Amino acid sequence: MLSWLLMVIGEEPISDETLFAKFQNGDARAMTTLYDRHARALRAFASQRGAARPDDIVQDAFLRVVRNAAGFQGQAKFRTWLYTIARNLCVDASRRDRFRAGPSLDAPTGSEDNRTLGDRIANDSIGTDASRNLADREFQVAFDAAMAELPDEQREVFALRELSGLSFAEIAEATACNENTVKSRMRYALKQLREALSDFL
Amino acid sequence: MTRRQATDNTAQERVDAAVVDAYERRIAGLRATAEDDALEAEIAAAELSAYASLHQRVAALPQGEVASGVRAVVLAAAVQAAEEHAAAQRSDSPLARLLIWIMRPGPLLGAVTAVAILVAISVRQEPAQSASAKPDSAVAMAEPPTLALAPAPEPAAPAPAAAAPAAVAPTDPAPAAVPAAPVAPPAEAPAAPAMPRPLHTIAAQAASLGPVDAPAAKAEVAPEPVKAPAVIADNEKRAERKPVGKAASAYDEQLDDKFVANGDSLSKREMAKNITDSLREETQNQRPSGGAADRPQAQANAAPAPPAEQAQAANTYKDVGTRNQVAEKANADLLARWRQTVEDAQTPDERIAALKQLVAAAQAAGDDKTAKLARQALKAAEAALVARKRAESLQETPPSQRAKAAPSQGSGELKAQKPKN
Repeated sequence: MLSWLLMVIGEEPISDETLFAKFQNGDARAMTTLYDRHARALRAFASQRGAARPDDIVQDAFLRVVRNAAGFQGQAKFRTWLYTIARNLCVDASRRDRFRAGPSLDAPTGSEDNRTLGDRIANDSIGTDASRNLADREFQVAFDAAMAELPDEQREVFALRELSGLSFAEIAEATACNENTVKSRMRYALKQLREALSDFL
Repeated sequence: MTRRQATDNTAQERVDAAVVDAYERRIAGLRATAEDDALEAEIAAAELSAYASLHQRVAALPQGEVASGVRAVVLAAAVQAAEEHAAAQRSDSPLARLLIWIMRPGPLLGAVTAVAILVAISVRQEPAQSASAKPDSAVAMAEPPTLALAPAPEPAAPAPAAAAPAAVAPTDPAPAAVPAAPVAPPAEAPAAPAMPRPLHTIAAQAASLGPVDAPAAKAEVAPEPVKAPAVIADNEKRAERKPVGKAASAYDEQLDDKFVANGDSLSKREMAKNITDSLREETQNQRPSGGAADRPQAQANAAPAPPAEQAQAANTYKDVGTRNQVAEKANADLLARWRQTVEDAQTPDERIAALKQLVAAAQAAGDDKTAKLARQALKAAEAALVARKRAESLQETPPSQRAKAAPSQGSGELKAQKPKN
């Protein structure tokens, strides 16, 4: 009763499942809310999962959610379902990219300023926040490098927990693993990151 | 991986989980119980502090923005899906919703189960109906034991001695020999009551049996083997000519159309039943009273039906199944009537003649059990008759000649009674 009152007066955010049920009934604005709530975290997860084009992963994941809305019966949480879709897309993308030649960093991208891909990565990959200080930039680079050194399973668990905010139970469901196994992977990831980033801690 | 290693891994996982839980509590600012404090005391405090510091640094990292085009694409798809959903709800008529509801697994299963039950019931009813349509052969089969065990009735008056040796000659009970060796009852002996022709369809069968006391008919029928009823043979021919496969279904459809074209909306089965009922009534009307006055009429009925009448009968029952049913019914009626005639026989000669007719009728009807029992009864009756006549001849023979006559008569009797098979 209290949660219902809080929801009515707008104090408590509407759950993902309620929003998705609204979308299933034809309310497109509910999907807007869901997208704004999860898109960035999903992109971060896709990026850490090794996807070359994380925006494509985000777009494909949400399009699959929209197209398969009728098939979602509510047995799992919406967030778990969304990240499971994204994870499968990342796996497929990594398989495709394995046999695809990567673009040259020195090749021009065709933009008006005639910058190369390497220039764009150097300027854009860290972030667009102009107020970010140098320490943060250095930590970002070191963090990305340390994450790249992690095994896939540990990197995936760490990204889902720290960057996307999933609980260990949700991660266990999304990755089809035991919860203790997920926590064990998390501890090893923390241990390795702590060693790699000891200069920043 | 050995069991020991798996156990160690599980234990290690528990430790890791405890550490991660402590880390989670640390970053959440929680320290719930004394057990948690004890656990964190075991773990190096520096490690947990480093993990918490790492978490803070990672949480402070800005997440990259998703391209605006992705949002536009996703929201456009969402709007389109919502419109399609609304349109589908508007366009769904009550009938369409009912169809959708019916096509769900539950109602479909229910419908399939109901159809299966109906099919099973109809399949079970079909044999029952066919059994009821068949003649009462099962009931008739219960009667033969009493028929076989019944003693031959004593004749009211002894037969003349002069006709005895020649009359007793055909004692061979072999089935094939019965029609081949025609019954030759003594002229003085009363003829077996010939049964009237109950149906048009069994006229040919009655003709094959022939009247017992008609010499001309005996002469014609004697050399011929036992024939199946002409109707049955005709049915078999028609059954052989009946097409198979798709042609058979077309044949059945033609029959159905024929029934419908005659203005009769009844099914073939119902029509066959009606025909059988009408034939049964006709048979009861023609059933003889058994008196001597009826015999000429009965013998006339036993004569072969004229060709025109046979053709009419054949045209009447064009349906092979119906004609088979009618023929079986007629054969059963004929057997029952001959059996009654045997039981009603007053003299041994009458009984023997009736038994021979019964054997022939049973063979013609394909009722082997009745034919066997009838043959046994016939053999017993003939043996009793031979013994009786032999005793009578011995009484009439002077004692001086009795010794000479006895061996020859005895050997002849034994020779005559020796089965040929």
